Amino acid sequence: MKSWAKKPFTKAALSVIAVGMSIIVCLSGVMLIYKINDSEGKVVGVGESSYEESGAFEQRMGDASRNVLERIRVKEQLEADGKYDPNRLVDVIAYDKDGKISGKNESGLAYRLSDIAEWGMKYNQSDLSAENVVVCEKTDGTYHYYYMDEFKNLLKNNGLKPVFPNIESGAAEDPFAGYGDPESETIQSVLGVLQEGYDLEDTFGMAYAGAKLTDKEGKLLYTDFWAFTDVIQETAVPDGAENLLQVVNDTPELNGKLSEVYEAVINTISNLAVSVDIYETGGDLWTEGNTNYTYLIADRSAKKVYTNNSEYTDFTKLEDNIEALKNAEHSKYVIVKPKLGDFESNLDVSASEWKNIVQAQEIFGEDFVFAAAVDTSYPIQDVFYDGAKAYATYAPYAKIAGISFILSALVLLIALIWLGVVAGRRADDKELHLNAFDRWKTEIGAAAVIVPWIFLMFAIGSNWSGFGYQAVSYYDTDFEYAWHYGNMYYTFSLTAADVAVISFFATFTMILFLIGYLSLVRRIKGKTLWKNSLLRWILNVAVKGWTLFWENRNITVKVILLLIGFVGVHWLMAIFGSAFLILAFAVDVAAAVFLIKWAVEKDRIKKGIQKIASGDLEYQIPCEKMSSENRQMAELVNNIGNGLNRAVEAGIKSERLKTDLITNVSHDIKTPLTSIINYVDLLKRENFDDPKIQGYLEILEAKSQRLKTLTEDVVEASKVSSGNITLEMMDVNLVEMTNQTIGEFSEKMEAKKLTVVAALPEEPAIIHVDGRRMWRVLENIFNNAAKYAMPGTRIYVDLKVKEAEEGKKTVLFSMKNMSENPLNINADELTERFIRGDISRSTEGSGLGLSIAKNLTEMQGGTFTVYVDGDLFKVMIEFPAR
Amino acid sequence: MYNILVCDDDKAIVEAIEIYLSQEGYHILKAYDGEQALKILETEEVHLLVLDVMMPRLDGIRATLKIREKHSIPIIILSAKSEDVDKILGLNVGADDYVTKPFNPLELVARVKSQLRRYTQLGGTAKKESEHVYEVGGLQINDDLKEVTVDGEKVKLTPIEYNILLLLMKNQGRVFSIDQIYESIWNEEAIGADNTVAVHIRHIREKIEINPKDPRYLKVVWGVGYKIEKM
Repeated sequence: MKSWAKKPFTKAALSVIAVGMSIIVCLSGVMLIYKINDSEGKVVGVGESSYEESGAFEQRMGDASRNVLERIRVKEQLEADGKYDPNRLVDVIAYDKDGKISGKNESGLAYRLSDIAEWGMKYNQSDLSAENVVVCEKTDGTYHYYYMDEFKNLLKNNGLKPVFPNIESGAAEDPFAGYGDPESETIQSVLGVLQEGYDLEDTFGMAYAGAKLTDKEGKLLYTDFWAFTDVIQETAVPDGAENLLQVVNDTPELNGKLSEVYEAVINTISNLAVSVDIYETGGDLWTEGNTNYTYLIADRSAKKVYTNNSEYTDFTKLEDNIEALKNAEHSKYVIVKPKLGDFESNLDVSASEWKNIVQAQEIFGEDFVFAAAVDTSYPIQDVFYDGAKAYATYAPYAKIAGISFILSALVLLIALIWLGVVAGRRADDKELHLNAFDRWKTEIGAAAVIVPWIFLMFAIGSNWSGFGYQAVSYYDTDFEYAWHYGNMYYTFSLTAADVAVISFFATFTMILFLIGYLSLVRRIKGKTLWKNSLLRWILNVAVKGWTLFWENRNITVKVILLLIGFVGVHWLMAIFGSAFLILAFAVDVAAAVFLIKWAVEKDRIKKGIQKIASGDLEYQIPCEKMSSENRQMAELVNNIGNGLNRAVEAGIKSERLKTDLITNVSHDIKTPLTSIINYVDLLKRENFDDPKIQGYLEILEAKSQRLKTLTEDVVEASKVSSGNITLEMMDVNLVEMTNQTIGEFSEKMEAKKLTVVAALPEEPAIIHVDGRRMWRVLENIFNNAAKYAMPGTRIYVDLKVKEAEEGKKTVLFSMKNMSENPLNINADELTERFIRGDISRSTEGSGLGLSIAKNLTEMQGGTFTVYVDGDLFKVMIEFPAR
Repeated sequence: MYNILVCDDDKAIVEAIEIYLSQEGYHILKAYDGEQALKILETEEVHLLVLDVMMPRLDGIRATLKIREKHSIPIIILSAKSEDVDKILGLNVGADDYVTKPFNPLELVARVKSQLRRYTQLGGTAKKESEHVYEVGGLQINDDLKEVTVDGEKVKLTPIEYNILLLLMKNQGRVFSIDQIYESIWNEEAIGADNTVAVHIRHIREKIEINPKDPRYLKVVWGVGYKIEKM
């Protein structure tokens, strides 16, 4: 990115642009929301080219048509012979059935029209103040209804007397027996129950079950009685009676149908009240000369025409008139007929919607014509004129608002992205710079931005009354009417103060947003959003605290705590049921995973211990992913392994040092020894006559030769015993080797008159050894025999291939001879002389031959056993056969 | 008259060697470290060099390397180091023989003689006159004359020994087991392993080798058989 894009000036300019754009976005947004799409949604549409095409026009025309049709319906309903008569009788039952006012009292229950209208205006569905009605069943199965006051008086004056069969028969006890005035108490309680609309038996139980009413003399009048609660206040007197109950009691057709009667009354009064209200307050809104709206409606079956144009009243000229209406200049019309196919209009409107508008009032049958038109030259200043004027005024603004909203939103977005990209960068380096605010904890920073904004919103909300925004009726200035019937729209005006408030709001919001947004971007870039958050800090402290607590517990405490948690969850499930099922399941899964992991880790540790125990000291248990307990244990085991390994390596090193020392010492001994041997030899060549000198020279020669042998053998024995030699393993035929060895020693043996008796198998006996080292083994034991065997005796050499356990074969070599000198030494000492210091070293060789042979044999995987029995000396060498 | 340069930092050893080799009629030159030896080689005509390894200033191994840049005279290394690795190192850097201390004077003399003969007679004496002459190093067997020579000196072998040696010489480098040798020499099946062959081999070695325990030509492959080392 170019450096100028990161300069402070650029950033400041972009911020100012962002603030400016946000103001424009807010203002145009407010205009779009309130002016163009008001709550009715259709004052001005952005995409329309003229008022007549707008939804607002369509809506107003629909509203006008609805209003006109409603008035026609009301007029048809209320007027008799073209006149409104407040004294006309309304038969409630008949009206409820067919919605028509007959003017006669046929069912028995009828009221005056004006009384009904008044009653309907007062009627309030949620008013429950009317007293219950008492329904009494007569002996013949019909009913008599009493108002509560009436019934109360009858009871108190003993006109009626309650009787309780269960009390009289003794099946139940009188709940008021023993009171001062049980009779009065009983009446009070019965009235109370009825007033509240409860059931006697439900309230008092068996005692009042099957209660009856008698007259003063005890004659049974009513077999049952109860309260009827769906009662309304009567404010009108019915035709020919004092009240509603009187009519119902006196009219056999209505007996037992009290609830239907009340329903019919409620229906009638609420419907007619509205109709009368519309009729009386409608005014002359749609009369000719008051509106640009013209309607021509015909009921073909009744041959009746409804119109507000005096030229169209003749039914016989209906078709011509409709054509005239259609073809009038500047006419925007809608013609609705029963068939959707016959619908005509030069507006972009829906035929079915208009058919619904017309048929909703249910004035006509299936044969009607509805024609409505608006003169769009608006010669009269009515609602259409107002609408057109408002549209002409606001539509250009709406379009500008729409365009500026989109453009400014786009510019704002670009500015924000640009600012986001360069946030934290400077023109002169490539580092990320965080300012002091960015170093605040994330949540505190967020609060520092959000809290002032909330205060701002609160301040604006409480100190500013809002936009100049008010509801206005389409039709006239009667707001109550408009409110009541939903026929209204909202006017709106934007004052300079409003603009100032919105701009202030937008500026403040955008500044806060920029602070928060840019800081957020810088935090994300610097990866400090989470790192520097309060939540992370709290989590860290909690984790550290818990770790400190947990790490310092011993295993027993940990297991007990875990077990308490595990069992606890299951108890919770057992006590509180399925709410804890998922938790218990989760705990079970966790326990299973934990136990399996634990077991796997234990196996690994066990394997590691086995490895280390079997000598693989460099083995390391892989413990990176183990849980802490097992990890500690694995690490301890690894440490043991490492410690042993170090000890072994130190041992090997010291062995090697020892061998090196011995080797070097032997080199140093050899040089003077060379001179000794050479000069002894030269002396011998001088032919001393003195036999004594000859004797001395013999001794010198023998001892110097022994010293030579010793130095060589000591080095070899040291190397062999420390394992400091490399083996070249190969398949070797021990039979062949034995023959070769016997051949090599043939002269030596003959010199001591020793006979070698060899019993060797014909088949080869193959073993896997280092041929030269194996020769050293055999050479040493043959040398041993040649030196120490009694002259003239036999040396037995045996070689066998033996079946060992599990089908494995071993090659067993043995050699035995009789010792010339008594063997005052045991077998172990013979092979371990190198490490024992207390044995006589008077023999002729180094005495290390057997030790070397044994070590070499064992090194190559064989066993070397020496057996001494009296003068019998036996060596056994065993190797696994190949 | 051959000039032999003896080089060892131990004067006693040098003098003892001088005595032995003088008795054989050689002229001895003496040096006590590697540098001295190199100087003498510059000025004198030397036919053979006996060289110690562990010496001050310039040790035997480095000296051998330097000498081999200019001279092809036989070099016998005489060292207290008796390990296999030491021997291999010495022979690899260009020495012709390796004798360990303490040495047997007779053996040393024999090796000196052997090296000198080979060195001086190189390209002389009986060359391959017929197909029936087999040669390995200083060991030659002439089947036409039924004659065996080591470094030009005749060796007396019994007919069986001769036949065994001839078999091995004809197949240099190949390992023969005791049974194979038996069957091809005695022309009968070898029933039951026998150490007869091994005894004969031992005898042959004693006749043709300077040190039978450390054979130069007839090698024992332990547990497998015998072979003539191919050179």
